[in-house]
Amino acid sequence: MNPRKKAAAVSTCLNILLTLLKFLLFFFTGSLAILAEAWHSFSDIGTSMLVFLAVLKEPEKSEEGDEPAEGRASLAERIIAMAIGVFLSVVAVVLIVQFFRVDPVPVRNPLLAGCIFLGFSLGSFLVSRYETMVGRAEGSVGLIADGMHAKADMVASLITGFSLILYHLGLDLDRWVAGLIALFILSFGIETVINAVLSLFGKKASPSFGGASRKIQTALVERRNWITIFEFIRSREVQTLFKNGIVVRTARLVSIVVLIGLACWLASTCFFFVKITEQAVVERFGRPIEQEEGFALDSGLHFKLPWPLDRAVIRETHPIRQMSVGNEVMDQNVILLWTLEHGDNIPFISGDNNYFYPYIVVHYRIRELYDFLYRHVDAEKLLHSITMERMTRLFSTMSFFDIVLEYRPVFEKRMLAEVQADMDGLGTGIEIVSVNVKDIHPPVNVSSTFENVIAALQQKEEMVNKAMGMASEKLCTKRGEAARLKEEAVGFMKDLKLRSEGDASHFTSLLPDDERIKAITKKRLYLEAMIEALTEREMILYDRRAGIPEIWLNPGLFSGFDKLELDENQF
Amino acid sequence: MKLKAGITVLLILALGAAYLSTFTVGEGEFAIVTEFGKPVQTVREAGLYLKKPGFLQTVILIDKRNNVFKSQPMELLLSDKNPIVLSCFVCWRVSDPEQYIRSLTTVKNTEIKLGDMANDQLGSILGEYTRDNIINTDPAMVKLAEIEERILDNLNRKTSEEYGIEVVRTGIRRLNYTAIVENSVFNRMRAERDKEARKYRAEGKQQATVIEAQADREVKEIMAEAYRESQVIMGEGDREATRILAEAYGKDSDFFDFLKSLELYRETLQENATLILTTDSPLFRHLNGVEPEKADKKAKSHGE
Repeated sequence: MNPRKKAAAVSTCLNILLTLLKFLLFFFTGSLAILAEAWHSFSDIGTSMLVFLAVLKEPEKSEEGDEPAEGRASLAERIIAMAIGVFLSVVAVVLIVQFFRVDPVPVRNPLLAGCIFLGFSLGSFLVSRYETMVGRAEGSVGLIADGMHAKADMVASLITGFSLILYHLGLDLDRWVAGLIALFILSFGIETVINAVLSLFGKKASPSFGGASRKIQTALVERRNWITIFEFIRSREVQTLFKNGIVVRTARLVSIVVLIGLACWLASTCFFFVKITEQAVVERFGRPIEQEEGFALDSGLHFKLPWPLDRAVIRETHPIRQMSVGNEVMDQNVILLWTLEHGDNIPFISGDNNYFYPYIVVHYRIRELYDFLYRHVDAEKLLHSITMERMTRLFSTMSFFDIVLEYRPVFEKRMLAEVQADMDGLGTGIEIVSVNVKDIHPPVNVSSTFENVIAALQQKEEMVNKAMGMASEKLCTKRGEAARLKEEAVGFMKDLKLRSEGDASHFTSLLPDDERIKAITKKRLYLEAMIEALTEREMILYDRRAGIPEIWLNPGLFSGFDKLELDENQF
Repeated sequence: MKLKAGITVLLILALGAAYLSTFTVGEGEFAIVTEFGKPVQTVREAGLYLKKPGFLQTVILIDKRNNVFKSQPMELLLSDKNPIVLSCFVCWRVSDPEQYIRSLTTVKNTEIKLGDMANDQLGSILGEYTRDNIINTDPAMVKLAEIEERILDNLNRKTSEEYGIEVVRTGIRRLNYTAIVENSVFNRMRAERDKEARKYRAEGKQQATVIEAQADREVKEIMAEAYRESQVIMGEGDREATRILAEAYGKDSDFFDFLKSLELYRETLQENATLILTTDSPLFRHLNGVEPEKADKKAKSHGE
């Protein structure tokens, strides 16, 4: 192995070792800067490997060109390069997000870690010197470039190391260093992706690992560049430019404009507006200033001392806010059916051991802004927990149907009173406006049986109603019939009476006073009756003197003939 | 020019020094001033304070407001061997900032440790209570408030000295059964509902039958009453008619008999009746050329 290949291999191995050590250190310290630096070293592995491959391919002596020789990369290489670029970009974004959003985590053993990082920077420096020396001796541009990059790594390690030592001394720059390194990684990752894409589309022979961003990083640590900058500043042209009156006047004007702008901004911090829905508290060096009535200022224009002496904390206090407790309805447009899942299905237990899903909505607002701001980190979170606790406690003493039916308004009143008492006791500054039971239903997989009960109840009502209907119908009909029976009896009675009276009257009318007239009347009546009775009747007359007729008549018929005979006495 | 520049530089340096030598403590904060890591001052009131510049003294700000977090839900055995799943919330605040920063340092750390302690207390205290003390329709039996009070006391006993925090409030947020018990509860609820449904239907049938039977009884009563009344009325009618007729007919019973006989003939001799009469009948006495009276006598004598 010639010295170039040896130097490239050593560089690659050292980068791998450094990366591993930095990740290990991160696990021991929890420093975000070390994590960023570890990823930074990870990105260096790719570059070192590329240099190593280039050195393997390049001729013994390279005469010109400042880039390692690039062969045509295979499709797999391009895809791998792109994947690495995307991965590093994501890592950088995650680090930047952590920089902005995650609470700072205390760094463990910062002094030791800082010293180790100073050691790393020394290692990077030695690698840099070694690669540069071998590169110059062997005429390998790739090795020289990688040596310069190792110098940039040395600077990054130095920054990280010093930040850790400063952390130990009480100055927390951990996140800022992490953010700076994350920006390096991001630029490297994005460039690598772009190069890989260009290579895929044939615009570039081979994807390089963040060449330009590395050049910038390298340029920042190259001594001759800084010398050039200083020489430029001290050059006659620049000095002449500063001595020129126009430049001085322009600078003065700019200064005045900046000062006026600054004054205007400071003046603008002396007053503030509070909207109709808001209240404000003015803090002077962090201490709230007491006003005429409490600490809160109502809507309007208010004055305060300029920044950084006073600070106005404005919050919306008057609008009624709402909080869902227990379960929350996911879709406000859906019908809240028991058999349809419409919330997050968090079950509660009633006092009679039944499950149910309550959807409680608490309406509240901020009554005391001071308490709300300065007594609790998150008074609304506490409100949620207190409401949950009270709900659980109340529900555990009530039967399910009490909760669902008649106890609802009582529950709302008790919840309001108890939660308000708790919130006042804890000094949250929150006023509970109302507690609303938006919905309460049994578990969805049981609710059909509840509906079956309701259906059964309806069926019961139906059966009873039908029976009552039938009974009413029957009773009415029979009452009618009974009435008819009675009326018929009355009619019969009257009919009978009247007829009897008629008959009696008729009889009395017919009854003659005189015996002679009576006899004649009887005869007349008899004859009239006979006429009526015998007319158009079939009649057989026989003459008794002629003996019994020989006919089909049964002689027995005639034995009682006399009885049929009209009584002569009647005549 | 040089004087101006000098004043400007001095001003900037003074401002820088002032910035590095002062710190502000908010109303909801404690501050601990450390000198190379060693705490030298604790500030409990809000305001502007001085310190040694730069990193000679650094300030650690600690939130002194009440924090709240909910503990990890856990399964516990009650004294009656019933398992129950519950979670609680803990409201706490820093009471001793120096002790707090030494022992817990961060809010997250505090919540993890307090959560562990709260769950430990839940387990040990709830082991002395039965399910009836947790879930019961008799409020006097439910001891949730007592349990919460005991957890609060025990937590404060543990945390006030060693951890530098004070627990302000604890509460049981949720109660639940384990998955297996949950399914059993569902099945029991279904069975209960089914029982209820059957009961309602049976009650419906029962009530319907009772109503129908009552109606039938009432119908019978009504009809019987009506019959009785009608019979009474008809009886009265008959009696009245009989009385009227008897009064009228009593004046001449023979004549009444005669008239009724005639009426009887009229009624009984229908159109399809066949009469067999002898020529001896007084009706036909003229057919024999004999006076009716004579014919009668003759017939009588013949009959004898």
